[in-house]
Amino acid sequence: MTRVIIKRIGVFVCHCGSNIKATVDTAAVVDAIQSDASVVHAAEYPYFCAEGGQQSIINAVHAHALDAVVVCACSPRMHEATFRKAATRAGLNPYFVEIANIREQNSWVHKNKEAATQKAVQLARAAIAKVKRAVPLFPGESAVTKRALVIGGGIAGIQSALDIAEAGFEVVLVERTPSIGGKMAQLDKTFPTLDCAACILTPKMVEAATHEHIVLHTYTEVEKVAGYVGNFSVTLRKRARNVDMQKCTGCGDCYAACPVKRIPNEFECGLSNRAAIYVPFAQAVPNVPVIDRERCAYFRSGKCGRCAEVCQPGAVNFTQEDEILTIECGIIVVATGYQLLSPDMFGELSYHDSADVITSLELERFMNAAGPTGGKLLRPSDKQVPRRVTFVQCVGSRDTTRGKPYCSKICCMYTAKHAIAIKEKYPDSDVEIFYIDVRTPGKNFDEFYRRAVEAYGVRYIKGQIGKVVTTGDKLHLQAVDMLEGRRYNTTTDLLVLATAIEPARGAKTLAQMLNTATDTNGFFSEAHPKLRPVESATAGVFLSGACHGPKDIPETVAQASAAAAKAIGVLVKPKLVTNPCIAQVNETQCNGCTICNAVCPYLALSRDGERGCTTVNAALCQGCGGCAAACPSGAVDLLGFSHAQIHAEVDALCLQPTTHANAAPIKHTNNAHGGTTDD
Amino acid sequence: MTTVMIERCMTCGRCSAACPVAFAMDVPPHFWAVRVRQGEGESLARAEAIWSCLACFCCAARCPRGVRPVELAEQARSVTLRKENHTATFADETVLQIISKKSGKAIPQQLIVAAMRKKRA
Ligand SMILES: Cc1cc2nc3c(=O)[nH]c(=O)nc-3n(C[C@H](O)[C@H](O)[C@H](O)COP(=O)(O)OP(=O)(O)OC[C@H]3O[C@@H](n4cnc5c(N)ncnc54)[C@H](O)[C@@H]3O)c2cc1C
Ligand code: SF4
Ligand code: SF4
Ligand code: SF4
Ligand code: SF4
Repeated sequence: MTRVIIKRIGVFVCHCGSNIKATVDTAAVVDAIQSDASVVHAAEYPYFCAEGGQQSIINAVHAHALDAVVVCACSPRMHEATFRKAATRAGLNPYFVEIANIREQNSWVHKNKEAATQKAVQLARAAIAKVKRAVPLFPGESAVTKRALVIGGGIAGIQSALDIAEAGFEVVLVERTPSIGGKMAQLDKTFPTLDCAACILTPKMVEAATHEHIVLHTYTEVEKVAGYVGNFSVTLRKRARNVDMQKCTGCGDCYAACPVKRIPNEFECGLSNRAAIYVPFAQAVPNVPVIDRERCAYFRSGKCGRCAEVCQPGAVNFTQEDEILTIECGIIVVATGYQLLSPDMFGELSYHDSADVITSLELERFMNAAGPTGGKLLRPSDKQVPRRVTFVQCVGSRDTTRGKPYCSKICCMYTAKHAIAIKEKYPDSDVEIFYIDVRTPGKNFDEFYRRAVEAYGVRYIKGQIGKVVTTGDKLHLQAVDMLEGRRYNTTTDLLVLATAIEPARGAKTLAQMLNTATDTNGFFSEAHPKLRPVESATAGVFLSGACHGPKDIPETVAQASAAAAKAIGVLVKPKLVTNPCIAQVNETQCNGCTICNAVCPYLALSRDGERGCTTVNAALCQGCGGCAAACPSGAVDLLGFSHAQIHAEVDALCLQPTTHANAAPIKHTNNAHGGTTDD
Repeated sequence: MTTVMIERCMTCGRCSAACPVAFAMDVPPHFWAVRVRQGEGESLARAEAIWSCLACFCCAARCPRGVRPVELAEQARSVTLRKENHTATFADETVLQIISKKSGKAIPQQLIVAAMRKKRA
């Protein structure tokens, strides 16, 4: 390792407008740190991140022959990259830049100016101590596998897959149910334009299935994820359909012949039945049935095989087994969507006690021409058209005791949509909606809601339902009308619950496999809520659609395309620049105990049997530093955060500052680089 | 002063929808937390509603935000009783509480409240 003597440090104290200056006496900081002999230049400036600020740093590097730079400013997450680039332009190694965070960790959290100023000086001294022991680091390169994996085949996954494929990259689209389409395939019409969901979705489903760059794996789940951005290796389990995809013509003879018929159809929310061999819905893509092994008479008792008998092309294959596939890909898009919260916790609404209490998604199926009633809204109990339909919003949303603390965002809009659709179909019906607040921000959304009220005469009642009792063919509702400030007891024929949205089953397990975070509600977390909304915190993993939080279709599609654009940004790169701040093993100190190997979450460490010590796979190491902390002999150092550097920082912070605060720190033996200068 | 999390109320109305006697109340429970929050606890104490409350806890069980309107009624009752110079208040040892201590059995809330109402009448 090159030995660099850092003797001439420039310190730049940023005001960040008034963000720092209002709480820190920046001039006093500039004064104080000049007591360090290595600080040959110190300056303050309103915004060092601005063009002029950066230029002043570059000029100072030249004018004072600086060999390292300390910027006292905001968090390194904000502008470390900015100042490293400026240093490079000035001819320095970019790792000769240290940031002292005097904003997030100081001015924003303190009120006492004197104490905050003192703390800023301490933080600056720590950064100076650290940069003195810096060594030049050079980023490496890694190859990019030019293939994307998209997990989840709802509208989000389909859109992301199509966009990436259109850019010319290969896409593997994985969906765990037998067909792509997701929840949108279950919907009837869609707000705010009321176009039919199938009419706009089906062409996209077909396009995804037939695109030359897209490989579709339905009835498939992710089992394992290894690797890192540019070089993921993902293991998939393609469940046995027991129908040969190549031979099947989609004629449907098999499910007509299947004697096991009374299985609730998941796609129809259990409102109609399917056979043991089935396609979930008529427009399914691919249009190839699967055998539900748990229900199939042949799999249960060895007797039957009716489907195989009637299948002309001989596609039914009872011996087919699950396939394990390994996909090499450069990026991963997560598009696993959502599911609806079960109304189980809300016993007072009688969902389980009355057939005429249904969820909004069930209503979508009743209203859908392809649904169980051919698009007629018939009460489940007596198959009559209800004269009055009542909706209740926020079931399980905004509920910190029995439900979800957040607003599910789309239910106000789809409830207004349902009300309009019912009024359109049955103008004589009476539609009533219980709400807490009506939340309809969005392009043309509030107008849509007002149309329900003004043009269709839908009655909105501010209040909730406390109890539902069935007598005869009526549902009795004990409710409140809050604007009137009084109890409102009424009857209805059909009650529809707008239940909360929650992350899809298995989202957490998938997040763990991907080594990425979910929020307190189990939705996938974005890297930054404002500036990086479609990236996860894990490089190369992008978020698309409702897996990230409740979203309607326009927002889902916008995010899906944004995720695709970000993904393409990685895939087009010939090489990826790798972070040089990775682990380094001092082989003379390492005794090969392998404690660090077990700690590494990226499996980047292994023991070299011949040399009897641990070696680092530079491509896998993400620089988390777990190994450096774990090693009992101090043999592992994290480049850019060496033990020598961190000890120097701690000394600068904890030892009483003297005129030469950091001139004589305690000697540490495990200095892997020998890169220190002044001790 | 109250230990009820009045600031959490989002005036959804579920308490009043659930309450078995809200139909007979001059001020139904969904107003209670708001009244106290707006510094109008006095007017709640004067409302007839606090004496109709059965202390059945339906409102507390159904509230999506963990507000317990029932406890506001209890507190209002106890304040009123104290003001009216009843020696035994809700917080103090009532005859019933003494019985409860002696018998070693907890007294159901409803019984205590019923006793309060009798005492006031
Ligand atoms: C009743 C109702 C009415 C609605 N009406 C409208 C409307 O009118 N207009 C509108 O804009 N929006 C509407 N929406 C919202 C709309 O459904 C969503 O915006 C949209 O479906 C989100 O798409 P998605 O692809 O993110 O999620 P999803 O549609 O949930 O798709 C996710 C897919 O991923 C699959 N998956 C999940 N986990 C895995 C895994 N681990 N591995 C592989 N695959 C997995 C799922 O099987 C599913 O196919 C409505 C929603 C509801 C509930
Ligand atoms: S498996 Fe055979 S019978 Fe069934 S849809 Fe396919 S071709 Fe037709
Ligand atoms: S969108 Fe409307 S109905 Fe849905 S949770 Fe939010 S406020 Fe309630
Ligand atoms: S405790 Fe009182 S206010 Fe609450 S539901 Fe029962 S009677 Fe109504
Ligand atoms: S149920 Fe709770 S949140 Fe709703 S109005 Fe009553 S006290 Fe307020």
